[in-house]
Amino acid sequence: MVIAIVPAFNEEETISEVITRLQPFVDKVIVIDDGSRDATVERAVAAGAEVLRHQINRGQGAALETGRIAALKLFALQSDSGSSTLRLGSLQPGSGSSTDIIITFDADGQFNAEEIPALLAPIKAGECDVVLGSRFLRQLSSPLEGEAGRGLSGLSLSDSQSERAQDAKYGEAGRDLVSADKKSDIPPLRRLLLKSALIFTRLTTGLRITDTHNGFRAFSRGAAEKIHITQDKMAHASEILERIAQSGLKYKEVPVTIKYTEYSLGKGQKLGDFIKILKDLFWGKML
Amino acid sequence: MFIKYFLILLILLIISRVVLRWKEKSLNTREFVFWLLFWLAAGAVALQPDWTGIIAERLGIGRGADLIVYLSLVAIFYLLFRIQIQQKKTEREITKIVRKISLDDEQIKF
Repeated sequence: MVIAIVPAFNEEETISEVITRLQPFVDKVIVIDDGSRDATVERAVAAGAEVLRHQINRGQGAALETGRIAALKLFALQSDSGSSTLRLGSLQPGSGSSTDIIITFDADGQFNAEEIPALLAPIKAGECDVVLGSRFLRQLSSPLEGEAGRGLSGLSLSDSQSERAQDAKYGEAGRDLVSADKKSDIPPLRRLLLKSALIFTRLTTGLRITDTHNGFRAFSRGAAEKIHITQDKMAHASEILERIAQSGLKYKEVPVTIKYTEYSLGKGQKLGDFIKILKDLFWGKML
Repeated sequence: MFIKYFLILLILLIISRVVLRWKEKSLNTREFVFWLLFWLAAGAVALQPDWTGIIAERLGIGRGADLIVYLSLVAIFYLLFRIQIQQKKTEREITKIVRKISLDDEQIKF
């Protein structure tokens, strides 16, 4: 079972479309309404998502954690009912863990749901526990994979090499997808901030990844059980990476497209947000 | 020297409150002793400001008044730190409650 969890705060403009685009690729969409004051809830329900409601705004990290708990509950309920109605197919060893996957997805329409199969594939194939979307990947190298705590080497593939690697991994469609984006029209200031976050993450967790604040991720059920989020606000992205490092989960980055629209830019992170993240991380350590 | 008597009066008043709160058990004995000593020391300084000068000199700080300012700053920073932590904890507790409500009232169909 694949469940998409979508934290949403005042996203009435985009939520319906995001849900409709997700539905063909996942079994269930759970929207966590984080205290929206607009029609987000009504539209999400109308679009066919399951909606959990935070009565007051607690932040994206808090919403993701609520979604994670709900998804794990669903997995548990599903495997319970699976055992009462015996089906041979479901009795294969380990089948539960490799097919139960949680996707995190933003509600502002920045991500492309068609890229979900590329995020699911490595987990389904048993290659890793966590797949992280990266908007910078192609510019640096072919998809990075690693095991937390172990460094990576050989990052500098040439463009044509990495293109071939993409080809091998995702076939024709994957290549189209890669060439369509990656010059990703990322505004310069944002690019600088994202790069600093990258260095920060490398220093604090030892994870050598190319995009630290990308909300497009996939977790195996086993991984999701270990990645418990306590950072309510934006610092959860760094916290998730920390948990991956601490638990020694196998992860892999996969290139994804981010569409910077005026709408999503207005919602995205600015310099002040990065300072807030650092502050939250500091206080998180003090608790 | 009006300020001196005013301060002493104020400190006596505070000490009486401290004793009262200890008697009604809203302060435990350890807290009571701490606050009693603190305000007695403050009273001593109000009566004999020169004493702070002696301590300050031993610590290598020029004047007694400077010593008090430094100590106050340290105390204030520490207090701010404690308050921040307390506030973050409270925020987490609020999130837990909000989450509990959202999950309890979930209408998810299987």
